[in-house]
Formats: sequence, structure tokens, C-alpha cells
Amino acid sequence: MDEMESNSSIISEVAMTADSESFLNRWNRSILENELWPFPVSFSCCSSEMRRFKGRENSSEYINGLDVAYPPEESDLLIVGGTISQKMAPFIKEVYDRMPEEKWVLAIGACASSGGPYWTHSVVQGLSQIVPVDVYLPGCPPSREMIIQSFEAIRERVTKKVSSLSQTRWSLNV
Amino acid sequence: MFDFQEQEDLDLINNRNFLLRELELEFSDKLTLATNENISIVVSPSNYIDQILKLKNNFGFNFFLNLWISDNIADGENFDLMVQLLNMDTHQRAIITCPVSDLESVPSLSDIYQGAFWCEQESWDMFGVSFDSIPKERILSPEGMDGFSLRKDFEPRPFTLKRSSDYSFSPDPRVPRGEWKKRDVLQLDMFNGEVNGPLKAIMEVYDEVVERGRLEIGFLHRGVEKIFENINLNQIMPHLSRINSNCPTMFQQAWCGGIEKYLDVYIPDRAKALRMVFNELDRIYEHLDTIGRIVDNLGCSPFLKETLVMQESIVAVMKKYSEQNLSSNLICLGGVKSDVPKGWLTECLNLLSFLEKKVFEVTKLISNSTLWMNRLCRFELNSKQAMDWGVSGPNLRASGVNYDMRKVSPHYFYNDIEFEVPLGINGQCYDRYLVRVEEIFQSLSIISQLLDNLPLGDTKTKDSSVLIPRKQDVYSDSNALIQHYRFYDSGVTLPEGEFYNSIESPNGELGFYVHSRGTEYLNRVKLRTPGFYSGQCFTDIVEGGSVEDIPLVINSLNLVVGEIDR
Repeated sequence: MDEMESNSSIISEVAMTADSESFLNRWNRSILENELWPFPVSFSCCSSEMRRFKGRENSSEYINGLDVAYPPEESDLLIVGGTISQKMAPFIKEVYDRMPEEKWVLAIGACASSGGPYWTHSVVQGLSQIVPVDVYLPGCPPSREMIIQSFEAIRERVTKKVSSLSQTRWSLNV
Repeated sequence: MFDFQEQEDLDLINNRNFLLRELELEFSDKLTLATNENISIVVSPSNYIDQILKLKNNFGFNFFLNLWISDNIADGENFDLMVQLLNMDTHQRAIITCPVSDLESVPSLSDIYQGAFWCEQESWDMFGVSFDSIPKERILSPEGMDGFSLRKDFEPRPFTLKRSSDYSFSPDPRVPRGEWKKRDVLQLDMFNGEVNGPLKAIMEVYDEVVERGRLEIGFLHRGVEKIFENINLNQIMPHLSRINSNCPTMFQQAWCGGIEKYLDVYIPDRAKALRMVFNELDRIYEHLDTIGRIVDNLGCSPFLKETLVMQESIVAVMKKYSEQNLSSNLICLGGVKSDVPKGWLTECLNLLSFLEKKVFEVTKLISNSTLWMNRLCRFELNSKQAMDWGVSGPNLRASGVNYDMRKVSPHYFYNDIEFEVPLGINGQCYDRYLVRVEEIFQSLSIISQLLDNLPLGDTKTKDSSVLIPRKQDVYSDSNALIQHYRFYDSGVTLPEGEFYNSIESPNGELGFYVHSRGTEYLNRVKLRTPGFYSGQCFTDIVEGGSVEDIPLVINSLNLVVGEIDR
């Protein structure tokens, strides 16, 4: 019974309108809120943690599509896990630029957040030097619970339509 | 009664002594012995190639292990070129040292041992020492950087990164001139988790068939060797488990075992046995990871889930012991971090029975299926090619070469434990897969034998040169207080000298060469990681395949990029 009610509320929210444009907007937004389309770029140690997370039976409760390869043009969440070397940085920048306008970025692990223990010439000291980041996830490697929490944090930002890209634009008055 | 084992041991000792005598006659005062197994020879630059050819042809050093440069600015000299070779009959390792300078190029070894190619390219990248007929290209460092990063006087400066230029193959001499232009060059980025780490494959394709291929590495170059020269020995420990996160205790074992041997520290039997248990659990984990990735490439997702569940169960048991995540500091200098927690042994035995059942179930279903055989019975690497490239471990054994360091130069209790070395026949992807499956069963049997006969006693040595004193002692005993301060201020200091220690990791021979000047910082650390050599033989294997098989080939060799790029 509860399911029926919740379904009907979603339908009423989406469909009860005469304006087709606002209908489409609402429809897009409900999809966006309910399902993220991630583009995972994963390497080194944190990727093995993510990989085992994928293998869990209820991983789809938290995030969908981790094992489907969407092209960057169709995805809205960039997940970067692992050390970012200088050689790797242009690739991540390119993927970010190819993604559509509304996009979010998640940095998994100490290396992606701040360079971690690798303070050398060949390592980029944090993902924020290349692209604006929404959620930083500390830990070397982060635990399972923290990964789940970070997805919740991203989802919260998506529902409120807050992204660090829009914030940087707002602060720069672009 | 006639004992075959004893006879074999005697033969080995005789062979070794014979070889040593011959070498002494040949090289006389240039020869020094660290141990009976590790020989070092100094040669002059003028007859460097001749001496190495002599070692290969006359003395049976037919396996190339490593080539690296050591910076000697503190001694007033320039650079030392070091080559490490292995004699597979007597299991002796020789380090050949040759003084070189960065002003004139050194004759290349890549005609004698093919595996030296990447090493020599790396030598130019890191030190600026150039070799004949080796292109002066950055292999690990980013393109556009100036300076050579492993030199002692290197100062990092900001630079603008150049996108690596599109690689073009030199014209293939086997093909008539008119057909060169029909071939396309394809670049395949593997950054999304198809393989274990970011890699790029560059292929020359004609009619959807790969004619030639090579790998581009360096996307995960973290400069671990540079970091190791600038931190003390305590700070090195957490870095070890992050080089290849699938087998953290293997790196810890190779590192700690080498230092303990060098300092002559006694390790209690219980710690030895526990270390072996961790290592074998890591081996199972790494092999399951390989199988899971192959399954993933073929698109059989139910089996991928099964392997991930098995890996998860291993991690759960390791977490119970270390109270940390997978990359744990379980093995420390002088023994094992702590004694076995209550109830852990039962859990570990449960894990073994679970794994045995599950691995058997999964592999029974996939090993004989037609799809599996069709896709995997290709991409041959014969034993000659494998030895030429310096491939070791399961990849070498899949080509039919019986060489397992746990058998031929056993450490700890590998001598007393019964296990077999599985061998392949053709060196195809299927052989590499089957060898790994069989090794999982052997590892399970090793662990169960160890747990049945786990020795009693301490898990840490009482030797004060490497031991961290207990907290209670620090408050009551002045010696312990001094030791505690010394340990946390400067760490363990090694006396002046050099050593090399290697163990059989899941991917092959994993070794650490360490050169110390007697200070708290080390002068040079060189990792001999197996992936660096297996990665080169990709060129030979991939011919005749299609583009979509590339991740499969890489995963069947189990190339871990964290290991290759360091």
C-alpha cells in the first residue's frame, strides 16, 4: 500500500501539469535524483576497494551503473580514485570537459584528495588542481562505509542542485 | 637407504663451488662474495659487453634479472651501471658493476637480453645515461620535464606538460614496401578498470588483426624509489603495502626479510610461520583477482561476483588480524605485529574450506567450457621468449619452465612443507590461467599444513637493533627509553654496504636491492618488480590477435601498473 502511495506521489509530482516544458524538466530532474550516471576513473589501491564494493549484492542500493561504461558525454558524476600522476592529469581534464553542463566530482582516497604520501615531482597534489571537486573522501584506502557515505553526500548535492562548478562560477561572477 | 634429497643438495653445493672456482680463475680480484648465492663482479667499461657475453655463454647466467644505475656523487665518481643476472642451475645471482658517465653512451644489452630494453630506457629517463640504439624517450616520467629525477642533485621545477606525441612504428621489414600505408595505428586507453591500473596499448592494425603492439606505461609513476631515498626506514614501511595493494605482505616480507638477513637478526619460528600464512593468503587473493578480471573481460558477470565474494572473505579474515584495511602493516621488522587474536585460527581454517569448495565449483564450471577454451587458447609465449624477456613467476611456469623460488632457494619452512609446482605446456592464456588455479590449491594446502603445525613462542625477536620497546618498559627502563627515542627519531640504521633479497611473489620474482652508506637515509633502493618484465613480452604475445582481446592478454599476464610504474 505504501509503495502505491509513494508511486502515485511521484507521478503526481511529475505529470500533473499542463506545461510540456516544465513536465520535461521535472522528469529529467526526477531521473537525476534517482539515478546517477557515474564515470569511474580508477587506478592503484583505492580502485581495488571500489572493485570489491561493486561485487557486493546490495551495492546498487547506493549507486547504479558502476559496471556499465557510459561515455563521458552521457555521465554526470566523475569518480576519481587513486594517485593522479602528471601524465594522467590531461586525460582527467579532457573527460571533465567532455561531460555535460551539470556535473559532480568525487575524489576517493587521500591521493586523489591531496596527493597522499606521494610528494614527488610526478604526482599531482590533489584533484582540485585540475578540476573543481564536490566531495573529498579521506582514507588510505577509505573503508566501505565511508564510500557509501560519500555517495549519499553526492546525492544530497544533486538533489539540491549544488555543485562546486556552479559555486566557482558564482564566486567569480562569470 | 639412499636419500635423493641429500644427494641433490650435495650436487647443488658441488656445482656452486665449481662455478665459483671457475669465476675466480676468470675474474680473480674483481670478484667478491656477499653470500654463496650472491656474487658481485666489477668490470671496466671497455670490456663490459664481452664479460657479460662470457657470463651468459660460458657460466650459464642465462636469465636477466635487472639493470639499474646508482648515483655516486658523494664518492666523487659519476654513476655505476649495475646488471643482475641469474644462473638457473645453481641459483646464484651475480651483480655486475661498471662505472659509466652521462657524457658518452653505453653499449646496449638489449641484443643479448631482450628484457634490458625498458630498463635501459628507464636509466636515461631517471639518470640521463644513454645507451646505443635505445631511443631517448621518457618512459615513466611525464613528457616535457627537464632534469633527471633520480639524480641526487635533481631539483623539481614547474613545467608545462606535453601530451605524449602519437607513436608511429618503424616500417616493418617483413612486409613489402607497398603495404606499409595500409596499416592503421590504434591507441587503446585502459583507464576505467579494465586492467589493474591505467595503461595504454598502441597497436599497428591491418584488417582488424594486430600486427605489432606495445604498451605505454608511466601513468601511475609515483616516484617511490626517490621517496625511499629521502625518508628513514620506519617511514618506508607503510609505503611498501601500497605499491601493489593486492599483495601487501609480499612487499613487506621481501623488505623486512632482506634487512633481517643483512643485520643477522633471529626471527622466532612462530613469526616465520605466520608470515608464510599471510604471504600465501595474499597469493590466493592476487590469483583470484586475475581470474576475476579475465572473467570480467569475457563478460561472465556471475563468476566475477563469485571471485569478488571470495576476495572479500579473505579480506575479512585479514582485517580481523590486523584491525586495519587490506593494506596493513602486519609484517614488521623483527617479526609479526601482534600474536594471533582469539579464535582467528578457527576462522582461518573455515576460510580455507570455504575457498577450496568455492574455487573448485567455479573453476569446474569455466575451465572446460567451449567459450572459455576458444577465447583463451591463444596468445602463446614460448619458454625461450619468456626467459629472454626476464618473465618470472606463474607466467614463466605456464611456458613450461620449472622455476619456483619457494622450491629452489627456500626461505623459512618452505623446505619442510609438501607442495608441488604446477607447470603449463604451451604458454597460452589458458595455461597461465590453469597454473594460477592450481597454485591456489597448493597455497591452500601450504596454509593448512602451517596452521596444523603452528610453532609456539614469541612473535617478535628480542634483538634490540630492530625491536620497538614495549610502552611499559619505556617508562621504567632507561635503556628502553633511549632505544625508543632512537627508533622514532632516526629509525633503524643499516651499516655501510649493499644487499639484495628476493621472494616468489604471485607475479614472479620480487626483489629489493638496497645500498646504504651507514646513515639513516638509504643511498639507493631498486625494486625488481615482476610486472616490469612481463609487460615487455606483450609485444611478442599480441601478434595476430584482435583489438578487443588486449585487456584479456594483459590480465592473463596479470600486469599490475602500481608495480610496473612504481
